[in-house]
Amino acid sequence: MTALLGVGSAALALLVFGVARAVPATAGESRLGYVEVSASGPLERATLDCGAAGKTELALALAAGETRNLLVPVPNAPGVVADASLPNTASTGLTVLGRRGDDERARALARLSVAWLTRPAPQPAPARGPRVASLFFVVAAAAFVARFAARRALALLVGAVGFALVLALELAPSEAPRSVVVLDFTAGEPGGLRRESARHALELQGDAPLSLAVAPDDVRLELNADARGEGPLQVVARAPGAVLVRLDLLESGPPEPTANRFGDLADVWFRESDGRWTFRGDWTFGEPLPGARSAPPPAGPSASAGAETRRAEDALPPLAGWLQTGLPQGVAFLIGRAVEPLAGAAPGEPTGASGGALERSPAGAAPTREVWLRVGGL
Amino acid sequence: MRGWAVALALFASAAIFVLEAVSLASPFGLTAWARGAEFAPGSRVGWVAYVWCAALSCLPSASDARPRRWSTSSTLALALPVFALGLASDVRAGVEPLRVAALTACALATFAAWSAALARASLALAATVWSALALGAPLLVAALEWGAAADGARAPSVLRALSSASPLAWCHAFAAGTLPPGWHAVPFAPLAAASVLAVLATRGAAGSGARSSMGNAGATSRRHATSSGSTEAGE
Repeated sequence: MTALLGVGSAALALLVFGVARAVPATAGESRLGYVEVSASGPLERATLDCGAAGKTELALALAAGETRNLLVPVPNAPGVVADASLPNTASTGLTVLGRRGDDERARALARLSVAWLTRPAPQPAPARGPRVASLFFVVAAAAFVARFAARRALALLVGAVGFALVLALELAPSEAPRSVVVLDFTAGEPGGLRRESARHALELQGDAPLSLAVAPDDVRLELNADARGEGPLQVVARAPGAVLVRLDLLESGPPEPTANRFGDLADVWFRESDGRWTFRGDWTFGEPLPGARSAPPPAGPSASAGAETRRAEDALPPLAGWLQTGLPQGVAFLIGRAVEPLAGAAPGEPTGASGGALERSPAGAAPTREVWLRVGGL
Repeated sequence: MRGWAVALALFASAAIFVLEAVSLASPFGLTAWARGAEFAPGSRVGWVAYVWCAALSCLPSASDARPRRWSTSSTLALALPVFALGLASDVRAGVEPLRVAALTACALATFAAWSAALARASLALAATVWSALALGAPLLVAALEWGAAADGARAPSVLRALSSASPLAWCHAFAAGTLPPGWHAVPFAPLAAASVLAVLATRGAAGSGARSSMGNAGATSRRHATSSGSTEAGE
């Protein structure tokens, strides 16, 4: 009876937590703040604890007597526009000097066009659950162990083999890219917006991002900052169970239909200003925008023309819903997918370097990013 | 009885992943169980450890005279594949693989140590230690801290130290993701408590064995004296 109570209470606790934590996935304000710290050696590792908001793990390599001032990212409390609280640190040798405002980034964010900000954010690959084969192995191992439970060594051997098999199946490399990037431009406007989205963890390489949103926004955010090199901090943001969206400004202008300056695009879709979609196929570097692969149906108000339009659109290669929902009507749009596999397209890279800015990763390497281009008003 | 408890633990821990798979595959939701909705913060392998440690309360004691089909090693063998599912789930969720692997090893060690210690102890000793240390101390701490309904309310430090020796409290902290970083996350206190219980159980068994052998010797001498007396009387 005691056993039933014990296991039953654990199951009940799981259920209660399940109901209590069923929060909607909404992205709120940026969860990234900055503090200036003074570090004195010898110091190799320090933690900046921000309570329920999360923490920053800072890796350093300071020798005795060495001192360094650093601007370190810290997680802001969710739902707080200007978090002024200072993180706690138990590390001797690390002093928090104070919050440093990111006014420049706030101004840049305020200057952004609403039309850009309301375009849908990239959606990373859906979370993958356990494989059916793994569940089958668990059941098979359980049945075998139950059959030979009295022979302890054999049972333990089968359990260990089941452990290894399940782990090998579950941790097999996935084909899905780790993050999805969309580069948004508007014809005739200088600059663009880069949004990168990933599930559970996101590398914040390059310059400091304009903002970092987390959905659901109350998930604890952990930042691992590596300050051991000479260059800028290498930061990885982790929020298990959440989607992280990073926002950056691009300095380059939108592409011209006369010449592709961005690199090879594998698939290009074009939406006319009257709402008709056409598929243009691949668009190689330096070439003008190709024509429609399939002839667009005749425009007209007749019922047969509408049916033709629907049939023609059904024949198009499928385009992810998040790329096209919420786009303003009456404006032409181009959506292109960069050639895979990719290793580049980091912040600041897609600016029209010769040979294409979307660099290929080494042959055979798994794609790290899936990069999309979205241009309005062409 | 023990077989039922082990089966229930296996079912409850595997149900976490079955529900996760169903919720992610279903277009209609059960989203509370999906990673995106994050039904529980922290670690899935922590929840598996919690369920299996809860099942420890049903371990038979040394007084169980029947041959034990579900020993510590066979129970551990049954739990291992489910722990692998939890470990993989945490790694997929972006948790640092080395940390989650180390914590899984710690959870398995804690489960095995407590299982072995409880199996060696007498029924009374096992029930007392489990009720007082593993269940009682964390519940008392929770009652004092949550029941106070005041911010920053803390139970006495002695009680909190006792609570930290509970394998259930450690597993719950692991599941909730509130374990401290680095070496502080290693369950030294639960492992030490299991070792002390094992030593006490061994000494108790040795003591009762010695008393039993002394008792047998006394009975033999008494029988010998009785027979001598009767002989003498007979003579």
